[in-house]
Amino acid sequence: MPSSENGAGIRKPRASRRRPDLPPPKVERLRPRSGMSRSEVVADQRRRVLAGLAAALAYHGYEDTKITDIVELSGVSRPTFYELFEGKEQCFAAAYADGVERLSAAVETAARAERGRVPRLSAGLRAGLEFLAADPPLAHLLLVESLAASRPARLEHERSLGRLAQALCPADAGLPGAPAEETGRLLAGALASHLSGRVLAGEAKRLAESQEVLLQYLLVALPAVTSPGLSEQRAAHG
Amino acid sequence: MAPAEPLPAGKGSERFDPEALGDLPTELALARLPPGRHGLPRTFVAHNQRLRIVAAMLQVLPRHGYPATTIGHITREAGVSRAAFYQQFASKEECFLATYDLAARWFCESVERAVAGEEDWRERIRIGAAEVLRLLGENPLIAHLSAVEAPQAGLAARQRQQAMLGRFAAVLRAGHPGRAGLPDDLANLLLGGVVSLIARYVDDGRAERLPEATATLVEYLLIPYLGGEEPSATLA
Repeated sequence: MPSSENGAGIRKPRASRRRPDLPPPKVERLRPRSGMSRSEVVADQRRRVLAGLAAALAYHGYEDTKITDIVELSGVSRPTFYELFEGKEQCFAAAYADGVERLSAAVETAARAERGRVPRLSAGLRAGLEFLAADPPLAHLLLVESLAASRPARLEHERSLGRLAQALCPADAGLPGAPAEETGRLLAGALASHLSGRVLAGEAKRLAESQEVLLQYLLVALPAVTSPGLSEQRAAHG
Repeated sequence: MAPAEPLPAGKGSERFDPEALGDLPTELALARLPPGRHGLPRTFVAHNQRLRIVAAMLQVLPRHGYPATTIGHITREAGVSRAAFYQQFASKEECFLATYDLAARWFCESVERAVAGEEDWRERIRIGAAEVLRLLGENPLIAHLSAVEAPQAGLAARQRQQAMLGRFAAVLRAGHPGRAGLPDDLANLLLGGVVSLIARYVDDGRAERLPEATATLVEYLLIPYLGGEEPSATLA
């Protein structure tokens, strides 16, 4: 039964999955202003449900998260939830897609403002890390729960990693003898895996600290990309 | 490079078959895995229920995924009663962790055996990477267990995976040539990418084709340590 200590009355997770380092989650609930249009109301409800899902996932994990948890955290009614989403899986898919879109936008905006491969890499990486660090439940959803959710969610995550791979390793800059796609995929996986590990360790807020090590890594792992002359030399020598 | 235990004549063990471990203590049993390829009928009768259950867990996981797998699925596959299951394991999670531990141990020891005695670091990486992909290609259930299911099976399972990666990171780091500008965490970073790649092959249903990625994997592991020029010479 809801306890009075943590005001949200949040259900405690099963012992095996409990994350003792995490406080029970809360989602900011904006009171709808009077005069909001119907579509604004719906958009706000959707935002709150997605945030509620992320908060519930971080605390319970995908399998143990119930619609009840999402509803309680987001402050929408159960019928409203079901007007927006068919169920947990669809809600997750929407939250993931929304998160990836916003993350990509932040990264691309920052990268485009720079000139040259290395500055763009550095700026994009920093923007991505800062975006994730500013929203730890979302970072958890994108990096950790995407591997633990349903199979369609995993496949969608795989597609995101593929896109990251293409961004890191364009087709014309692969390592000798190795298809660029596979190499890029390895690099994207390395980045995601590192960040996932840090989020699991409770360090989501400090992800920006990984800037140096990740940039260093990319610079040593992508010599052909960061020194464009190298791939021409190799092509010339066979 | 003769192994300490007298392995059966012919190739080293390629196939992880928990049921064939029979009544032997695990230590001895691991050294006596019979060689074999897919689909061969088992020549050992498994009396050891624990190992039958472990083998069943391995088989059943890809069908439903860890969260949807029930103890009923496992007991039906193993041909044991629920009571027998609970004599061996307190929960699905405990069974999963025991399965993971056994498979990981077999896998790590196999790879470590393959690289033992090789002095040259580059050769060790080349042999080790080839062996990892070869073993996973021959044992797609283990690839599935580690790369796909472990992230879904709770905190303890993820920690097991980290521990296994740590073991491989030590192999990667041992005796590598120093080079200025390397991140401290390089070995762990590299291995994170490898797991991700394996998961992709498994999810695509082509775990058996993992050996095709060997050249790419070797270059990926070597280049950060060596720079751009030498790895192509290594592969020649």
